[in-house]
Amino acid sequence: MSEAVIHDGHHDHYDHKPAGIGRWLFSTNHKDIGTMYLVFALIMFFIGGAMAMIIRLELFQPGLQFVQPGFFNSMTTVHALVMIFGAVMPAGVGLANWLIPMMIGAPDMALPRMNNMSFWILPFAFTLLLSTLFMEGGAPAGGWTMYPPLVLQTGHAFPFLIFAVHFLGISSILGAINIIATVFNMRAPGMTFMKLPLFVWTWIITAFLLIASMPVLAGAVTMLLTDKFFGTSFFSAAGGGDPVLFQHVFWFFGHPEVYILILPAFGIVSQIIPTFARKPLFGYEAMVYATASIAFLSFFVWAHHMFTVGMPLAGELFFMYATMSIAVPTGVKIFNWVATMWKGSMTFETPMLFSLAFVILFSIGGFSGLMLGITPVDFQYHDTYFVVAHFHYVLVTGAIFALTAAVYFWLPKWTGHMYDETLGKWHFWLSNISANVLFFPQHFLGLAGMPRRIPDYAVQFANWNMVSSIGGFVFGLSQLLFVYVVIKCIRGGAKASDQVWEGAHGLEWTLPSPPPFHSFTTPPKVTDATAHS
Amino acid sequence: MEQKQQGAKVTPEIAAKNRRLAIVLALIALGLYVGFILMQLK
Repeated sequence: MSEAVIHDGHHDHYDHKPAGIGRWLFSTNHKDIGTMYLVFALIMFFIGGAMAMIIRLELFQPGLQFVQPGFFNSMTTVHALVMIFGAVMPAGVGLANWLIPMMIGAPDMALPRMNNMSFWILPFAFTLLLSTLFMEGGAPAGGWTMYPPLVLQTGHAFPFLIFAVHFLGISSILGAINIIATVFNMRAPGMTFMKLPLFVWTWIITAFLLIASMPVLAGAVTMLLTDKFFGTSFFSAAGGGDPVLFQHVFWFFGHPEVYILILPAFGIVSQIIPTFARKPLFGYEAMVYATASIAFLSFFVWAHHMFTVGMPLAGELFFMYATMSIAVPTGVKIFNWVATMWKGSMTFETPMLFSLAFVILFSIGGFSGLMLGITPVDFQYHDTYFVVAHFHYVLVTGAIFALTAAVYFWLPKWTGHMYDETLGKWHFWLSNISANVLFFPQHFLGLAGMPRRIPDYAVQFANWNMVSSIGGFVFGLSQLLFVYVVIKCIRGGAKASDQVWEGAHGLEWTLPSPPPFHSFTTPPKVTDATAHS
Repeated sequence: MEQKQQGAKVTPEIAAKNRRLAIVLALIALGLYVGFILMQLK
């Protein structure tokens, strides 16, 4: 266990909080900025969720019921952009902001003003993107993948989409730079790299992924912009360009992006499971190397999204085997989480329930991903609801369940109050059951041949679509309960102890609950070799 | 006496190291962005 902590005994002196709106607008405090990221992500989660409700409402029955096909396509496109760039990524960065300085014994993030800027870019970017919903010609409707030539048919919304993506990329890169600088330069004495909590490790690796992949996306959308407005032909066959080039470039960003979304979730679960199993994480070093391996391999698998586009047999084989190889380090992680629980003194508080669901349901999403990675099989599944089921298992029951687990896990530390455990468990069971009712039937729909991104479908798909929509509505409503639990916890409740959970270890649990405005005004001493456990 | 918001102590050496690392990483990102577009020019 880490031995924290020489505080200077003058927390009150340093605990002055600026008042009013200025506290938030000009904040350079990692906790305030983390809170803003998390609140922003929650708002975006509900905006993206409302779009998902419209999608499931339209698909409740065959035939066009409620919305026009063009608007339906806008909903699928903007839902994805909002959930990926507005909800999951900012939630991960919010947790990183709150937790990394406290976990490594730093006073704050390395570059606090840049931290403020990387957050405040986000509302501007999403104002640009969401304003397109009210424009003539509607919001972007060609899919979040923005493939040309289809995306070039977007009306007035096109430059707004491109600049929104640019701003989101800038925000992510600045955030990544800050995280790397913080972990490399601001660790407390004795906090060596191999003592870092797994959550910190997963974020270092994620930050490098962001710096390597975001500029590629930015370059690709810049070329789209010049193709549309400045007469270039990067992706126009008529001008000597190649539309397939965009797909290669997009997925060279897009596949690492998947791991940008999921690696912090791995880190969260790696903190929570040992706490409630009351055992150190099994195979800490293997977990670090597995995370790094996954990140490295993610740059060599992009074309598995494009098997049906056509490529030489050698290319198909390479990308198929490269994709399969990612299952090895991922399997190491699943094994280690299970081994951590083996013969542990387990209890099942809400964060643990969400983490257990994560391990099982993320594995289902991983297995369907392996199926999609098999080239000849992918020819059957490509662009069907099987793909929709796959990535929602990975991102909803994977990333979002882990993020929810994290909020329940650290909420008592942040607020100083325990949340309502009964309501938390209600939230878990409602979310867990409804998410499976929502997404599992989509496997059947896809295997039966239902295409994705369509507002209408053949009557043979009616029953499972109805089941899926009912699951969707219950899942959406269940999240209101989550908001109620969080607000109730912020407003009051049983006092949380400093350690909060019996099995919790690490520097953040040595601080008071709630922690002072500035965490470690003098660096703590980390003396024990098992700080991470 | 009222404290400023940034009450934490970071030495000038660490602050300079942070800035240097940030500039290097930002230049890498910018280089990837510009280099990638230039690579596609025919």
